[in-house]
Amino acid sequence: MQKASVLIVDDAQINRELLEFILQDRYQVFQAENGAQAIEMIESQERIYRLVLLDIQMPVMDGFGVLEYLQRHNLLKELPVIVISGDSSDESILHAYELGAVDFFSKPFSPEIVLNRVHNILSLYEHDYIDSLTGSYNRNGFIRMAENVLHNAKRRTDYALMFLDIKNFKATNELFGTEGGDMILRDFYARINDFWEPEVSGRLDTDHFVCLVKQDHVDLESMAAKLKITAQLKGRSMKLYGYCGIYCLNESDTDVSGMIDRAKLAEESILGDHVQPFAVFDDSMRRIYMDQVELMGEYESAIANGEFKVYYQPVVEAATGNLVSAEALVRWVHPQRGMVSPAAFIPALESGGQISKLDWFVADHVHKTILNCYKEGIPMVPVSVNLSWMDFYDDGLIERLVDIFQGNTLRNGDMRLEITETSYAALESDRAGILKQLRGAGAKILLDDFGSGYSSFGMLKQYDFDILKLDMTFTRQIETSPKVRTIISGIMEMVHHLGIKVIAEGAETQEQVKFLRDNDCDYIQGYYFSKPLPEAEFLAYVEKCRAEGRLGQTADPALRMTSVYRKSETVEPDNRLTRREMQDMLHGYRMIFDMVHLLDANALDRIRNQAESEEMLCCRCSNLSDPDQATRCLALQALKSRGEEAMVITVDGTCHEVIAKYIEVDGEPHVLELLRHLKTE
Amino acid sequence: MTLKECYDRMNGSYEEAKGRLMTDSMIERFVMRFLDDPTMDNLRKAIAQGDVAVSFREAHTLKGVAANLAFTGLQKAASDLTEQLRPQQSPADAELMAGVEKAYGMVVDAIRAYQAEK
Repeated sequence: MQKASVLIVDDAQINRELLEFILQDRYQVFQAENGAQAIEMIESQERIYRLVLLDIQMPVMDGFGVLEYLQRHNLLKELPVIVISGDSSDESILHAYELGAVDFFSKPFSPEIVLNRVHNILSLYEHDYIDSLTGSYNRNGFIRMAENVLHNAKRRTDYALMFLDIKNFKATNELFGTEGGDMILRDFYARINDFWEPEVSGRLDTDHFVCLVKQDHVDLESMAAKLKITAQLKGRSMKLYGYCGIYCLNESDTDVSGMIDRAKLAEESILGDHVQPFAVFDDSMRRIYMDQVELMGEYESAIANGEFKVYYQPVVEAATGNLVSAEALVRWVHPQRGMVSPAAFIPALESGGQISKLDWFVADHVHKTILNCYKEGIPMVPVSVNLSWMDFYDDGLIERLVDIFQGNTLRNGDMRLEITETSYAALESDRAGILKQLRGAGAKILLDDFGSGYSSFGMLKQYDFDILKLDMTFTRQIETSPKVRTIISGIMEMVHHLGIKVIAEGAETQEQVKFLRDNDCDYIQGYYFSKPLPEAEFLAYVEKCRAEGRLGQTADPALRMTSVYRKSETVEPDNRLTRREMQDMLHGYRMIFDMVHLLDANALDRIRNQAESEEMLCCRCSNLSDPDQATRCLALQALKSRGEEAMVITVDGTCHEVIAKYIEVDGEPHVLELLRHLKTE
Repeated sequence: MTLKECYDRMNGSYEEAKGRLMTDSMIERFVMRFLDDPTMDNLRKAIAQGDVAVSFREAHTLKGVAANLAFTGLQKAASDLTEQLRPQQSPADAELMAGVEKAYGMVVDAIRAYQAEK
């Protein structure tokens, strides 16, 4: 990163040069010989000064004049001033402090004191614009610096703004721990600077980076290759994929925030595409963007005018088709545009930090509707409302929500909260506690969009929730992808083991519904059963279901299988573990392997049943191409031999080492599955 | 003549200068710059014109420069004059100014002598 700019203001040239001599190694130093010149330099916007070293006694305009000016123009908040005083006993120092100086040192200068004070003051003020993890600018700092570069640019059209993120970054955090994730972020930031030599670069949040670059530094031909990164960590290498949205500036562009939004919009248009992991903002995106900007301008008044309507999409019990619950969804009925798609405004509200108002509107409305049903004796089902991670940072909203649940006005479970896994991931630990608080107050928590994000399986172990909603992308691929079918049945199995029920979202065809039923899915939501309905229609629908005896769930028909495995005396002593020891061991393995999975007796039963029904052959003699199948097969072998089994298989040119290890945890048989990708270069 | 001898001759502190500027070459660079420093001339002019405010400021500046270069004798003389001028009520005291001139002369002589031997 560029050195911070420090401005020295002193009328004696020798003093200025002496200070410059002391500071020049660490900072970019500029000089002014009186107060008036200093103010001219600060106001010129040619560069942004981080600190002013200010003499008091000067011709034309003295140090007090400078401080008064900076104070009057509200500049001292961002630009600290250290007074260089002739002698420390001066009353003038007191006066300088009164005028907003942050520190002083007296002549003669001691280099150590000067350097330390300058460093201390700069780091105190840095938090406002520097990202402490990477040392790059944060959002604030980036915007200010980019504005400054553009202000001094000959032609803005020479520049482009790039928005970058790392695909599956959350997964690297899972795999390498936060420390490893941090290293990857620093590494990624260094590469950005190497590859594109940006004028300004910064990190907005988590794995989101931005940079302002000269357009001739951006070579689209080599872009894809540059975004493919191999990170080295703890002696292991890992492939990472960067995604990049590019916005090319117009001459009239001034708002850096808007440029970031546009580059981000371009980045978001890339859909899981490794071939071209970048996109340039174009006219079609411009229309979307303009729409969003316009809608955001109307959002506040739209809430007040009642343009937002709550719709309810029914959720049915898979086995019977009975109506069991509903999800509340918001629709914007715009006076001119008609129905506005949630896809057009919800992401924009989220990125603008304005979603909480709408979330509260829905929660409050649903609460009142349920209470009204109680009062009028109208049949109703439990309704879930969506919360964004941002809502957890709105203390007022959380308080009102807790009030709803603690107020004893609701029958248990009649109102539920849906939180996407992305939102879960965005919560810092102190905020995640709020979820516990809400749950403690009686709110059921639904984990929404499961499988759409990147750390789904981590979620399962980390957070408490009651119902899991399987993302609609899974449901939609049931007919076309055998792999997805396998994944869905695997998820059902695993989640049921944890005592959690599953709602599959987005079911549209009979085939999908049949498959979900056959695979023990508990509940289904989707157009196959009903689209989201306006409130009055939905209430009528509930009444109709009640009249037809299709309301509420029937008894849980799930049967518990009993284990066929028994404790064996032949197990090696070091394979017998307590639960606690096992957890430590898993932790260790997670550092080394890409996938670590512990199969308990129930899971092993299922694999065995499946293997028998599919006539799965021993992996040593069959032509395996699926690591999952190989792992399952190997697990059965390990179970049989009560030992350790290992193999190496190659899928699409990548080598995987698969290990299955038999262990007993608290006397119960388990198989530990371990998988790692081997380097093939 | 060494820099140490130069500082001794002008009643300055070589050790202090060394602490600030680290190397002899840097001390030499800044000491030589002092010959071109306009502060003393500005002070003389202000006093001649009877401008008390400017006299104070220039005396103050000279004190600061002398302090930074560890010209201890000159710093002391300039400091005395600065304090006399600080209330900005009476013009420069002739005796104190004479002290500044004397100390300044010693500094300049010592630097010139050092320069001549180089």
